[in-house]
Amino acid sequence: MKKFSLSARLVGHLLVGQLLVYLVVWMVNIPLSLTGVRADLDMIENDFAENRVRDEVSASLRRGPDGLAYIDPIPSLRERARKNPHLKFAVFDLNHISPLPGSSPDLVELIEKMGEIKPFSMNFQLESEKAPDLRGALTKQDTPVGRLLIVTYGYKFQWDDPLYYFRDNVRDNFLYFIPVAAAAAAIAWFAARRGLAPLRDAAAHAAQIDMDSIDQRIPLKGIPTETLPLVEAINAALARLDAGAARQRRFAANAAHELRTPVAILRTRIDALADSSQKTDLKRDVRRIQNIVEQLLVAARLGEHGGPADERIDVAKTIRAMVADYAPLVIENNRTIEFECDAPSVFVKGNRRSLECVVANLIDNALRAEPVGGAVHVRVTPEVTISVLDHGEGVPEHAREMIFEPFWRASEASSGTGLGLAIVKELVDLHKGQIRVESTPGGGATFKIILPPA
Amino acid sequence: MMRILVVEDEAEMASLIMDRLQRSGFDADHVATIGDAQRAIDTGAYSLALLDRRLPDGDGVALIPHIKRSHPGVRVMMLTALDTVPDKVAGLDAGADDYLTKPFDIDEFLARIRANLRRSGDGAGSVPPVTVGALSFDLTAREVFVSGRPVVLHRRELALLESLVRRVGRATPRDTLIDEVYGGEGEIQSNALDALVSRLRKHLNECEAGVMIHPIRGIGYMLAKATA
Repeated sequence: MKKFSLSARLVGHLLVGQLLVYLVVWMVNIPLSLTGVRADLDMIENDFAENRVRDEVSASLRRGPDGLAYIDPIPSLRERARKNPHLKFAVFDLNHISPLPGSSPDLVELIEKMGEIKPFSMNFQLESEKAPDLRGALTKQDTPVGRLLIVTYGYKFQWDDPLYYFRDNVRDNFLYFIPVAAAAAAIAWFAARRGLAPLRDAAAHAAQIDMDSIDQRIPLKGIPTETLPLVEAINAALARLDAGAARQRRFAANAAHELRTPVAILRTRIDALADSSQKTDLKRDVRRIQNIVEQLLVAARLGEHGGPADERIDVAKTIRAMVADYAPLVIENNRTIEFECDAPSVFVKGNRRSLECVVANLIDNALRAEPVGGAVHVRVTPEVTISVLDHGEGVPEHAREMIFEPFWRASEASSGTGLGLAIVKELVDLHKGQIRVESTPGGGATFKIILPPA
Repeated sequence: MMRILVVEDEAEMASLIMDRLQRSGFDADHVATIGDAQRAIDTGAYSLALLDRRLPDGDGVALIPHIKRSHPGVRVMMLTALDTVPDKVAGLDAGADDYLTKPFDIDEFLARIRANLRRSGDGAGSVPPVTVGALSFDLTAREVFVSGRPVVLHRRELALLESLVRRVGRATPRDTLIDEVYGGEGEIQSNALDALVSRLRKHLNECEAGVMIHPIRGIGYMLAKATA
């Protein structure tokens, strides 16, 4: 997606717009001037030629070896004079006293005749020439040899003269135009930044919203009305997602709850079977199903309430009871289970049911990995760590991060949906804890949970 | 013999529970609704009621005040899939004596039934003996039989075996065993229990009781049927 800055775009549009307005105003002025609608802009076509001729006169000024300036017409001026016998030009120093050598004697005489009047800018016609469409002008100008008065007369319109006229106009006007345009641009930039600030706040707020805080909404306070529909639409989308998530959680909770009765029936039915190795396997399997159902229920309920309850839990006691609870199943499976905890009590804050689910899941996995005759170790330390060790094949280094991803499986052939460890991680995260898998010394996997102590 | 009333609307679950109770030597009847349960209780024949909560004609909890008012000696054990703390509190507040959630462990289920029957008001009735392998333990008379022949055990061995038998198929915590075997005897040596377990184990092996006492490190011991 191509990115663009609204502020930059606004400023760009503003500058281009101002330039266009300037051009339009300038072009509208031409007919106004030529038709004489505006008294102060008395112009005829030939007036457009003055700028160019004056420039050529200026370009023709030289300074001699004696330090005195004189006019040495450049070829284009010479050519112009040859074609137009009416063309005259003269250059005076600012006191009008001394015309520069090369000035038209006629013009020098005329200016000198003005006596008391010392013009520094004027347009004129010459009665003596009997040519009403020819005009003259006196203009103060900075030339290569200093600031002088240039007088020209009899210039005639050529098609490209307006370009020179325009160039000079632009040069003069831009002195005003540039600061005005810059000020407008700065104001536009500032206004856009200021106007968008509430949107940036809204974005920062939206960035904070995740599945655990999906009940939150972006505050509408300070949002400009132009962008209000966007923010309202986002809020409406959040509300729909929130409702959808709640529906999904309710569905998961209901489904898990409904599964309990069939699992109970299955478990009781298996218990009633005659003893066999198959019965032992079935008991282990149904226990696993039960754990997954419980996990789903716990995860759904936690999601509903936004986080784990702030219960003070003695994990030593809770996990000791769980190990005791698992012992019959483990022994029937011809393995043993051992519990180690030096402290009488180890407290954490959280939700007991979800921690039980976490540990049950890890014990299930360890029991499946543990070879026959081996012992699954469950260890609690006061720091607070909870470790479940088995002596199976272990988890290869490269898979140690991935096993906590939903639906990850060691291979297509391996059993399990891979949902278990993902829920485990989610529940551990909700308790602000960490979970990782390490190698058991001598081979196997050690799942280690670190929880903040209460 | 004490009778148990099973109030459960799920036919399959009910038949499994009934089957299990009867195989364990209990007398039990089954009803599926609160109305039927009320009429059955009023016959006065029961010592324990197992109550489901979600029944076709209401919440099983509603039945508890009726039972406790008319037959205060009857113990009530909730047996339900509703497992949240508020659910349990509601059940216990209404007067239930025990609350077991589905799915449950069958050994725990039977142990809780025995415990409830033992505490029931008319304690005169008898609880069927617990059998494990060839061993049979009569909890009422505190007598031990192996394959029908009486076995004489030392006082402490008998206390230990009783403690283990009450929780057959489940791990019994070390502290509980010490409490029940040496209760009130003050300080005991740290390995006294383990030595006692060894002696009991030897004794049971000698008379071919067909049971095992599994040590569970960090927890305690567990009595189970010996595997072939």
